[in-house]
Amino acid sequence: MRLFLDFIPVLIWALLAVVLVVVMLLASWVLRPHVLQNSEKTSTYECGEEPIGPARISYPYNYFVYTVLFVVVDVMGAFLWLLSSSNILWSDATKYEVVWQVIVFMLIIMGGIGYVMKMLPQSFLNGEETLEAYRKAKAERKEEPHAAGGH
Amino acid sequence: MQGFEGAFEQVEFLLIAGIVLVLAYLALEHKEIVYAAFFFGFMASFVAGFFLLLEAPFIAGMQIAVYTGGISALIIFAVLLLPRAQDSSLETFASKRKRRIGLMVAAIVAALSGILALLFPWAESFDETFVIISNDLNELALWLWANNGIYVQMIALIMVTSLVGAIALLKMDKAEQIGSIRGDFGIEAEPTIEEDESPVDEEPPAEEPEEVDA
Repeated sequence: MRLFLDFIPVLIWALLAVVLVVVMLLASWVLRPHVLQNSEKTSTYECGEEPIGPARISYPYNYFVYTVLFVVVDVMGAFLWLLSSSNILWSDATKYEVVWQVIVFMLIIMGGIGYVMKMLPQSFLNGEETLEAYRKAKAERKEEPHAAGGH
Repeated sequence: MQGFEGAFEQVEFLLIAGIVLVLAYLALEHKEIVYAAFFFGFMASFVAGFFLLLEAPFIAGMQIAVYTGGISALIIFAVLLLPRAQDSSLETFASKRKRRIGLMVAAIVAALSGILALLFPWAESFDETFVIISNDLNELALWLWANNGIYVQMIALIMVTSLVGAIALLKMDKAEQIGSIRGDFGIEAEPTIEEDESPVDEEPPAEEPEEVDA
């Protein structure tokens, strides 16, 4: 309960943020010219180009790795925040064992991130590999008529 | 002062619970999936209010960092990666009877969890030492990092597992895409090779034509 009361300044800030957004939206509504909306006005602006196709397309799966990386760093940050909000890293009773825990923890996670950074370029569909597979398939097909006796 | 704080706590709890229920309903039922994801994020950050009321600062911070930040980002990315469903059959119930059965099951689950919440001896089920630990960041850090460091290392290993799994999924996806260059953009499109009677795969070409032509 006391902790909740400590966060009341944060709530006041959140309220101010909401009020700011509402005031800005209202002000822009009051200030802007209210002209007739037509399809030209409401269409998506794409640097003067005609919009082609829907905006909601499925992105390549490779971008999924970036969000997993974000979650990993997020969780790592939460645990380091717990460490930074305590005094166990500089109280003599605990600092020698905790520093090893922190080093091992960081090494494991940094190793994982380094592995992903190393493997990420290989996981993208590379044009050269596609070309190689294509040439191989083409060569195999050229071989086929001779193997079958040819017509 | 005690009486005021107690009443304030009750009001606070009911307010947060109401907001969480409304946001959870919106997150489930909103037609636009991106809005639903944002409502989920707001709901997760209001759940942190419960933990603040319970004086558990680490769980509250974890809730905001991981759920509002991480899981919401994960859901929004999932929306970006998946193709948009055109006509979803999940939106409506197949028949009135199925709708009634669904409502009945939901009511039974709500009633049972309500009974459990009222009957279960919550107050006696907690270990007093853990209550003290959860209220104090310093005590919690001592418990987690100094006394039970293996838990933190296990979390690190689980995180690494998720990274390796994501890379493995991508590699499998890539192998699948390379293997399926057939049809109009594959070797069948090559004019110098005479056509044979082998059946052409129905699946769409996975590669851009300019890379094949290069």
